[in-house]
Amino acid sequence: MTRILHTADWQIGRQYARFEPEDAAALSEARFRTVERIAALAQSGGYDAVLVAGDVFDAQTVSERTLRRLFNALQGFDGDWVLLPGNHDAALVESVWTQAQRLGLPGPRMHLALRPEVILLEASSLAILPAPLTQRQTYEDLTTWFDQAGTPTGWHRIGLAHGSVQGILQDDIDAPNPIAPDRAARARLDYLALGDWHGQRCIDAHTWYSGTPEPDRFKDNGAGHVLSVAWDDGASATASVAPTVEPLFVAHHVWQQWHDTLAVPDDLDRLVARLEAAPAQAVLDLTLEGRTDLAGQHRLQEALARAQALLRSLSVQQDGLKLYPGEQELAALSASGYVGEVIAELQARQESDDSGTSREALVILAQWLEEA
Amino acid sequence: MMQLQQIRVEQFQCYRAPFVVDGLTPGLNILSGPNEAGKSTLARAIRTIFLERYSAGTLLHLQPQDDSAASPSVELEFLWQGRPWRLSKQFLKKKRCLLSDGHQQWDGEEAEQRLAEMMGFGYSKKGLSKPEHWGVPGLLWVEQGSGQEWREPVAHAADYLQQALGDMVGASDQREGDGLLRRAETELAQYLTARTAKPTGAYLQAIQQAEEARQESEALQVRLQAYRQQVDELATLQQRHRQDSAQRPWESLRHQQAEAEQKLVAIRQLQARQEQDRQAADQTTLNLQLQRETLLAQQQDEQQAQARAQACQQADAQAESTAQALALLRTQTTRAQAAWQQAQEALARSQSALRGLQLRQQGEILAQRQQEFQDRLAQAQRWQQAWRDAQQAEAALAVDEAVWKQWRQDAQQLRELDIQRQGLATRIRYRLVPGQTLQLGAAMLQGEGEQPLLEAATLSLPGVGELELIPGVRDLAELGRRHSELEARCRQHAQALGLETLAAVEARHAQAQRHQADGKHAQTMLQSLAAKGVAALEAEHGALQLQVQRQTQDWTAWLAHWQQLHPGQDWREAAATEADEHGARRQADLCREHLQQAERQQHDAVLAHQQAQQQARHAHQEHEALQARLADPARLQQLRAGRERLLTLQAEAQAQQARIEARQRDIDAARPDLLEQDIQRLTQSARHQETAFLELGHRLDVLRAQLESLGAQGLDTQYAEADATFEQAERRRQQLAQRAQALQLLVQLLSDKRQILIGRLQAPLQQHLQRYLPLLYPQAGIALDETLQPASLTRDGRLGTPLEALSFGSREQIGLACRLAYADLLQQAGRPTLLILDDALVHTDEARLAQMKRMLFDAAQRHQILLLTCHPDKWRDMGVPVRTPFTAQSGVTT
Repeated sequence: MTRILHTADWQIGRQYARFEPEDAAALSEARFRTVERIAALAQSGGYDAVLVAGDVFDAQTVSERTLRRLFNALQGFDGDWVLLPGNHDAALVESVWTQAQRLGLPGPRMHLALRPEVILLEASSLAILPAPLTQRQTYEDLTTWFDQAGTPTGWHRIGLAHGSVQGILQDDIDAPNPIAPDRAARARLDYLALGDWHGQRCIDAHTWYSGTPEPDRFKDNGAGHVLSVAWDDGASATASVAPTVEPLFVAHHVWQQWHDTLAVPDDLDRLVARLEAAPAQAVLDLTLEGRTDLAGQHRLQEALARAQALLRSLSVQQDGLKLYPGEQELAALSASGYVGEVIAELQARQESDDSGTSREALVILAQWLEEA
Repeated sequence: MMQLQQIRVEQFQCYRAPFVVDGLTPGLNILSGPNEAGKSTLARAIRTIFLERYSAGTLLHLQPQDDSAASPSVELEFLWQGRPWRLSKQFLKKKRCLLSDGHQQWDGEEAEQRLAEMMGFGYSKKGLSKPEHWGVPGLLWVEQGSGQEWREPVAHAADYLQQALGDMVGASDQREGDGLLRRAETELAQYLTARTAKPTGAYLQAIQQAEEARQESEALQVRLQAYRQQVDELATLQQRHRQDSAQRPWESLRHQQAEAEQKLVAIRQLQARQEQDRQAADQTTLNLQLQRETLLAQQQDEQQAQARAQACQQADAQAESTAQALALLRTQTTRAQAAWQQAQEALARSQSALRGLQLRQQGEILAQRQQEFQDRLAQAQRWQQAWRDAQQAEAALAVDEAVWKQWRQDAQQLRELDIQRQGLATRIRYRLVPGQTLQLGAAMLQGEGEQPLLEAATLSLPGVGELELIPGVRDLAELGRRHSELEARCRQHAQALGLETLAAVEARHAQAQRHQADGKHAQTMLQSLAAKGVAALEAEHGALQLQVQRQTQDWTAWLAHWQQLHPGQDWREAAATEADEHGARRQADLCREHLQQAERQQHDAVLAHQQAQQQARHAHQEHEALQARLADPARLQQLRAGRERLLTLQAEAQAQQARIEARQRDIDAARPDLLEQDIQRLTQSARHQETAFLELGHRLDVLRAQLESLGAQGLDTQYAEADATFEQAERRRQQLAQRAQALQLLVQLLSDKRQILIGRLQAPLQQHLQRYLPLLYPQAGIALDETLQPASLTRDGRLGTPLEALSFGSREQIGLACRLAYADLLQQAGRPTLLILDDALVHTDEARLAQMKRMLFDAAQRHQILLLTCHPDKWRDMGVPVRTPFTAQSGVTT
């Protein structure tokens, strides 16, 4: 039985500018903890090796502290690590990898796949065929050499690459760093571990994208897992036998994107309930549309404030949500004189005002009137 | 219409005893009384009962003087909304307040509150009521002398007015809106400056922070970009360095360089030999040249000998020629000499002849002058004689002028006396018988005639006797006596002059005159001929004589000389031909020039001849010397040897030249210049390549070190952090911007709506104003400000005079007009109105007052008006009686 963990796109050192500093720091921090979690998983699961298919780092010049923390996080697994440079951390003449080497960070079983050369992992008879990016972008298929590469007989041939499988990922038709879709077959690979696609994806029985283990965008594409890849060595060691691939959830944060339209009071009730039910580690992006009265507005703001405190992060776009105080509310505001006319004007205006200025003005006015 | 019916006052200032004004009617009530009669106290009582709290302790001034126990009270009865209202208040000692409308009764503060709501005013929380509490009454109840002030009263009534207006136009209170507007403006001011809407405060700070963060982020991005480029450069350089290390291109260049150098050494040797050969050939050429020159020199000696012989001949010929020329010139000189001598003689002759001619002419002129002089002298002598004769003749005929003159005078008188006597005399005319004679005096009368009777005479009549005739005129005798005297004197004169008659005297005088004229003529003639006198003329004549003698001697001497020179020749003929002295002189000059020229030529010819002779001698000497040299046998020997050597040298030179040319072809083909350039080029290239390689290595080291250090700084991390900071700052900026925009929108909308509302509120008030204002200002209107204050007078729609700028009287009139308009407005809104005018319009002129009365009368159709006045006469035309309720109750006001 040979078992490896396949993961990719750690993007260590990534910053989350769109979030509040506190949340952003937590999200960055979570990526280290996820790596620790992977190491622990590999260690406890008795895996032979962990293959990281590119973009270990988010950038070439991360701080020394970040570098050290990553390699520290790897300590939790004492088996073989194979780290492949991706487009974010390409193996340039001067790179995050050379920096790490200068600092003497990689341990003896942490293999930096900086050149397209076969890496032999003696302990587990794994022959790793890496296709490191030595430029930030390339338009050649760097895995071509796999076809001709020789490996010891009886060893598993495992490709490790970072890029776009041609013709499969529709979104990335013209993407650089192309990979032939039939590479695994042509190069007689037991498994081709791919990175770059942050979601999890199976190309064929031998070819998988693991996705990023810690989500970093609001896309529901299976991110947040590592792949456990296993061969029953007793049966056969031929390439034609597909490995067993099992996704394991490792993420700390769930990234969710909600789009709600408030039309009737029920909608608000549902939204409030959903917010209350949301997991504490959620990173939530909420876009609101529709209309509400003042009471609804109060309830909503209160529910949002509560969620804000509860969730890892909550960002709300509510420019599309129009405010219509009810007649009784208006009466209660006792908006006498021309103030009533101003309220009516603002209500009318918010329909054609995408900037949300009218709405904001209305909220302010209502608030003042309520204070009075 | 609210209508006061009765007022009752007791223990209230001047009214100690109860004082009642009743029978008040709707409309205008004019209450008149003199000053100090208590009019103002009545007005004060009305104000007090409405505006002051009954419970106030500070109303001691309401008590009559010196009556601290008094409890001032006021009672009112009035109609309002068809119900009889009754209000009574008692202050200080017995505090009490009651209000009833016939059905319901209110007590104490409740009553006061009801009253305030009804009338539109407020109370002070403590103490006396102040103008800001007075509200509508403060506006409509005009105290004495304050009719021109309305700004404060209107402001204090504004809330009630607006409320009334709001009710009318269906708009509610604007105070809340104004409060919100102020709040919005205040808050907006925290984001944007008031006037220029520039960001300020925290918003400005947020903008600046966002900008700073953006710049920092961009700067980091630039650095990151540079870092990436350097990484790329490092890759490129490393690649090149590896290639160069493997290939070492400069070594191949060095090898090529060595080959080129070997080739060049071979060529250099060849060139050295060539140079030696060239020098030998040059030597041969030089020898050849020398030999040729030697031979040539020898040949030239022979040619020279011929030339010398020829020169001898030419020199001889030249000498001969000059000799001939000299002889010829000598002859010419001799001839010129002779000619010159001849010309000299001719000139002397000509000069002598000319002298003769001149002398001759001189002599003739002198002779002529002498003749003329003699004639003149003779004439002068003659005229001198004539002059002397005339003088003598004149002297002989001279008459005594004085006697002559007296005589002429006397004769004249005598004539006149005669005429007088004749005129006076008695005339005796007679016609006598022929032959008869009568004697009158001494005279005998015959025939017929007339005889004057100048004196008594006796006429003898022969025969008859005598007649004594006596002239009738008494003086006639006297006249006769004077006549006789005159006759006697005339005779004396004749004797003196020796002449008988006066006519003779005159004839003689005329003759003397003639002689005098002759003398003068002669003198004149003499003067013209001899101005200095005849003696001088004679002396001159003597001098001329001497001159003639000398000239004659000269002439004689010249003639003798001429005849001696030209014996036998007639001097006149000779002189005629020779006298051209000028021509002779010119001829002589010409001959002298010829002579000089000939002499010069002769001199030149002598020199030329001498020179030619000299040359000829020299030529002969040289010719002889050369002949001697040519004939030397050693010279002939040298000539032969030289010719042989020439031939040898020529052969040698040809051989050398052929050798040199062949070798040069080899050298040129090898192109040593290009070989040298090749060496230079290859050396430099090798050096450059090697240097570049070393530099590249160095650059790589530097770059690598740089990148390592940059990489260690964690640029990407820094950039990501900076970007996050920027994003955050930008989010904050946007939030603030959103807030600022929302506030801006609020301010704008509130202001706009407020403006519209104010316009709407103003309309009804304007309408009421227009009821009164045209009476004062036919073409004008009044602009209202936001608080419904009258602000300025507008004419023809143009903004005009601020009302404050108007005169006191005008302001009072406008103030009243406005108050009436406010009253109409309140009434329209269903509010009670009561107007109290205490001594109003005292500053108004007659014309305006009339208009104001029309205004008041009109207003009184709708409102009750209490008009208190101390000028009852002014108000008797208001259609209502002027009441004087105060006269009975005279008191002293406080």
